[in-house]
Amino acid sequence: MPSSKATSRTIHVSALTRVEGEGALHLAVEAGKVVDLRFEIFEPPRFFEALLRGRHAAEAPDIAARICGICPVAYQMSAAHAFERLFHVQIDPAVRALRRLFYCGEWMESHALHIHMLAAPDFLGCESIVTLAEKERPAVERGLRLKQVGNAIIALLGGRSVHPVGACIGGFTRVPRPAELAALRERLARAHDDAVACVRWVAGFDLPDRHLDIEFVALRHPSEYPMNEGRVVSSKGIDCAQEEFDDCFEEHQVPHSNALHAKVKGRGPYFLGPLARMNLNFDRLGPEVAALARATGISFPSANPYTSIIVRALELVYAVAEAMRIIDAYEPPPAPSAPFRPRAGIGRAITEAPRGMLYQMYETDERGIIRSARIVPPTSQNQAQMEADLRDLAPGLLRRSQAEATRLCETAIRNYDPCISCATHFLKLDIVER
Amino acid sequence: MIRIIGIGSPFGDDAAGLIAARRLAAAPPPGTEVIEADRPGATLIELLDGADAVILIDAAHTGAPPGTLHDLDLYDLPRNPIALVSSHDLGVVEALRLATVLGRAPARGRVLAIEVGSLEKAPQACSAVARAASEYAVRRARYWAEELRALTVESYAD
Repeated sequence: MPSSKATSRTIHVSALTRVEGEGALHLAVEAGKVVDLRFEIFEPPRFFEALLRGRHAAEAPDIAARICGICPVAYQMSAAHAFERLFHVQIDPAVRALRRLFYCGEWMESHALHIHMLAAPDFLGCESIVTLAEKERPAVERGLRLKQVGNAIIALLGGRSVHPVGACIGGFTRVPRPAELAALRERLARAHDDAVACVRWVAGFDLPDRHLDIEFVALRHPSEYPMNEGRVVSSKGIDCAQEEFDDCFEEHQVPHSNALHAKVKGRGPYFLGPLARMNLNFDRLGPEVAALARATGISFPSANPYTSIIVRALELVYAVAEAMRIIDAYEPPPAPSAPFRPRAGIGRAITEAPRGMLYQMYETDERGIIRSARIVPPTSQNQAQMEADLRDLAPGLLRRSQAEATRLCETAIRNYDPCISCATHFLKLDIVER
Repeated sequence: MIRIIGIGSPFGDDAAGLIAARRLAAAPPPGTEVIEADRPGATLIELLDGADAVILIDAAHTGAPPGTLHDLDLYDLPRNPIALVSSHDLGVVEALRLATVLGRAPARGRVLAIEVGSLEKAPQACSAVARAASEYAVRRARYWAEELRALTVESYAD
């Protein structure tokens, strides 16, 4: 308990099992004011950047996919698009649509997991998904069904649901037969009802009402809700091509973390992920999802990070409906992939991983051998914003019990859905009062 | 049917479960299906569906010498202080408990956990871990596959 004397309080928390990440939060407070706050996460992609050097471009999508067990499609998609841009590969429209379907599968799988297994227990006073399953079994079963349909899409296009391998530069190694898609279509029809029910479920949660001054950043496409393509836009006026990412954003080392912090050049932290996408692309959702969104009572753009859980549910509906639309319009392409000829140069691409923009940059020689690679995952870009969020939250933590303070921090961090491999086993929370 | 599930990321010592599963998949014990599951998280629940028994092979970090093989009953896992390192997204223990609550867990199973030397990512597992995975864990999995198959047949006979 805080005391009136100058004391030091240290709280150790081995929680945050539902945010993957070796996370530690250190908080120092003086006279009720936060004087120091450091949020540390472990970040493995640097290992992969080194591993990719000297490999052929054709190997990159599969190697990059191994970074994350939850969003392998995102890693494959950003890698494939970066090389296609560099090698001037033309993608068949049917292949382009299949890639969008591939991404729908990953959004469904990741969002269903996050909503039901990771975030919902926070808002329903359950310590874990197991407790929630005892209380709300049908909702948990619905979440697992939705996740399973997402996995089925990934397995069909990627060859398997865990660590898919199907995407390559130019397209896919194999494309599905119409009969395979028809089987999926039936499951999607049921998933649509499940996703709509999920929106209604989370819209009934009692979410904290905390509005922050946030710069939201996401892709924006001329006509679609963004997945694989689009310009980079922000709520404070950024509008640049993907190739200009490094002109608008910068990464910098901070002493307390081995992850790089990212910020908008000349400004500060920024927020990536479903809430950013929806705030910046509400007019691309289509009438059905827009109507569902309005019915939740939240007005978009929303600056309350806790509304992210509702936005994930709305994106679930979008992904299911979009997957059905793609399947209904599907005509097999003449070939699963377009050939490519390597050339020397630099290729960059950003795609919308479930948890936000994933940027990759590759430099190759004329044979297509990778000379350097840069991978900037959404979780590391969000890290400075997570710190800003926690700094705003911190003064209110001091009057709380250890358990309650930890729960509030976990809930706030979980809004960003920090990536599995970009994060691991627990958060250690230290609060020191001086 | 008995399902053998290898869990882990493909790099460094965390790959132990995958190394063992790959070796077993080359010559699966009778009545088994072998899956290399990477980091399945909540998908583990789907992987348990329809199995009479399961053998999970994963990496562990308890402080024992690298390459030590821990062999325990599936249902002792939640009570055991063993920390499975590849518990990304939903942990193996949590996924198992959830499957149990939802009535989707198999009646019986074993966990073979290989002690890691390091949690750092590296291109290969260290030699002690690789050997424990490809030899000891494989041998143990074959033993348990036979035992579990006998038990499964018995319970059908009941």
